[in-house]
Amino acid sequence: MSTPDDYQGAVMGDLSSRRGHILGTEPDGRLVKVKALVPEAELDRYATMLHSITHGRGTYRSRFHVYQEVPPDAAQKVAEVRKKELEEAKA
Amino acid sequence: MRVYKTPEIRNVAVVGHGASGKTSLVDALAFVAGTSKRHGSVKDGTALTDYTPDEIEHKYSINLALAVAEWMDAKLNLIDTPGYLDFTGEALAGVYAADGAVVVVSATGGVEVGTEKVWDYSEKREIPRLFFVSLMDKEHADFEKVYTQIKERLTPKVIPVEIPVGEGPEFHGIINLFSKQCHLYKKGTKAGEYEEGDVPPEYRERFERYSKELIERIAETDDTLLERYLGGEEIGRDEAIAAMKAGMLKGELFPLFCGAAELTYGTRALLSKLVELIPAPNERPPMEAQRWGSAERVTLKSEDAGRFVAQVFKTISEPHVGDVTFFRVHSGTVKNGQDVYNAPREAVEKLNHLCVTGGKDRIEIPELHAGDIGVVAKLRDTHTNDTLSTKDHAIVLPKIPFPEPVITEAIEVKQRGEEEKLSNGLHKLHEEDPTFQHEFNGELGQTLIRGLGERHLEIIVGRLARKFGVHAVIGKPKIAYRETFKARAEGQGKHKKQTGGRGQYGDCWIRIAPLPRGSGFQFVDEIVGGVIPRQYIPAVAEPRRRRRAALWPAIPSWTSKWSCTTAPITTWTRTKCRSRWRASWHSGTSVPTAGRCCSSRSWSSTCRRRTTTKAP
Repeated sequence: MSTPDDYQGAVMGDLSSRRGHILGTEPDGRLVKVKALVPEAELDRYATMLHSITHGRGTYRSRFHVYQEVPPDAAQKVAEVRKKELEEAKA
Repeated sequence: MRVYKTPEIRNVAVVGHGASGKTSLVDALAFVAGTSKRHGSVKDGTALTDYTPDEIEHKYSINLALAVAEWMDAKLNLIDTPGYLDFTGEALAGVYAADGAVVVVSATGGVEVGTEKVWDYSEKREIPRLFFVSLMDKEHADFEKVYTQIKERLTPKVIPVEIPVGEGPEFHGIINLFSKQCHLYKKGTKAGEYEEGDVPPEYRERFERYSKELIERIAETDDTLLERYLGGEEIGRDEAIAAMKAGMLKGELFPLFCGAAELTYGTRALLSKLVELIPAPNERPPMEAQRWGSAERVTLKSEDAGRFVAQVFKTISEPHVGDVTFFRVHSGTVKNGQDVYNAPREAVEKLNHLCVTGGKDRIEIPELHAGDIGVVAKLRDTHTNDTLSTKDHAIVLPKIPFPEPVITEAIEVKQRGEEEKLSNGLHKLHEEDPTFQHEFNGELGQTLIRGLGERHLEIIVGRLARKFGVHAVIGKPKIAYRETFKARAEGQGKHKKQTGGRGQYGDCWIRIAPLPRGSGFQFVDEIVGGVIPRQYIPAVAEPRRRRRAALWPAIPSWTSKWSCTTAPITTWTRTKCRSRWRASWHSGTSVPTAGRCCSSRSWSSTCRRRTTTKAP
């Protein structure tokens, strides 16, 4: 993602709270480019969030990188949600 | 409306942040020029270029739209664009169809993120630009502040050519720095009429400061002019305008205007300057294009003498009309009813009822010259970003670099059975708007739509209902979780059935082991010495082999509780593992069904305790 440097701190803080792992930053003109690995589940409506953090000036692109193990508590939640879904589908 | 030749055409994109007054400005310009008969307003839903039901309802522009203003024997094609970032693709298309842009900056809001965005677009395409400080009549309007912001945040090369007399509700006149005259407007002015007067004494000092700055900056762009200026010679108005136009073409000057579009203040001066300062299509550098089917590069000049080439920069489907295609002629001329060729789609299209548009009204026209913008309805195979040329001279123009979608949502029909209508509708909407994309994801069992913002996707859902009669709801996209093995395990599954008919028997042992990332699924057959007849092996292996295709939907499909294609915890697809198997067999009673059942059983009992959930 890229953002004007005024918002770099806020953006990186937000990424960490999304279980993000920041790989690195590099300056790009008036902007800063931030590379990070973030679970897909945490990227829901990220565009809207980024928009409000950076007042519309930040942009991002996401690509699939790799599958990684879900922490046990989160995995349990996933399983519960899925179970409910399947029950609903049956009903 | 008459036919205009290339040197009489000006294509101007009107761009800026949301709610900075672009649509009002376009409406006022077309009305003051006399081309449009009614002075509409965005607030009442009557503005010339906000005519779709979406736009009237929301009171902001969603689509780019065209208006025409005929002024000083020239035709201004005014491309009104939406300011909201969700529709920024439209603004981009507008910039790519134009030869110059008016960057509208609100006198109250100043430079905002949308202004920066359209500035970048125009910078990339290197078109001459001028600024218009709009909404000068609104409370807290501040011309100086906006000027400073533009200078600091967009370009230091901005230079005012007008200064306002009064600000906010007191705004009632404009001092023209070229003519050195003051234009005073009376309350109730309908079409920008003004009285010319001398510069009021209290503005004398400011006027002289700005005039000096203007003439110095113009002179700086031209060495001979600079010499004469420094020699104390007066530079006349026409000379100054010509030098300014040259400076704008080189990107060295960006003049700044001001006004109040709703009151029509400042519109006449702007119309004249647009004609005088924005280049005609033939004054712009030639376009690079490519001959279809070969690597040969062609340069296209906006001249009638060239062969016909045009680019489609917008399509919109309208009720009772069908698809309406907006295109810009980049070279050559085109006549009403002419056959043209869309090379990449191998389609011949007939341009019946060739038109120019002023808002929703279309006026049929016999021909269009190089550089002009036209509209035609009912093309079958032509979509946004296509190039039209002729069959014996097939050309493709570089595509307009539309922005990539940034948000994804899932979409679902409210009424079962409308799935096909949904996918047809989505497909049509994508053809209209390349910044909108859609796909069916089999693994998730969801239709996903992607766009530039939540507002963008809401509008899409609205259009689906209105145009295609499909009522749909937006939801959260699912995540394609996977499961895999973390450790080795073994298990056995036995299947016996003797309830009348032929008995069934199967017994199967499975050993599983995790593999390194990316190795997929391996099935190792450890049957030795023909303990099991060969023909039964596929029946046992098949369920497991199926899951080698990693993207198979997770549908439980076997008679047993767990199928081998489904993961035990979440029933999402399983990934990367190896299973080895062996089995025992009874002659006569082992049948494929039995093989599958016992295999499934041993599989599920083996792996239930040994899997882990993975997330992308």
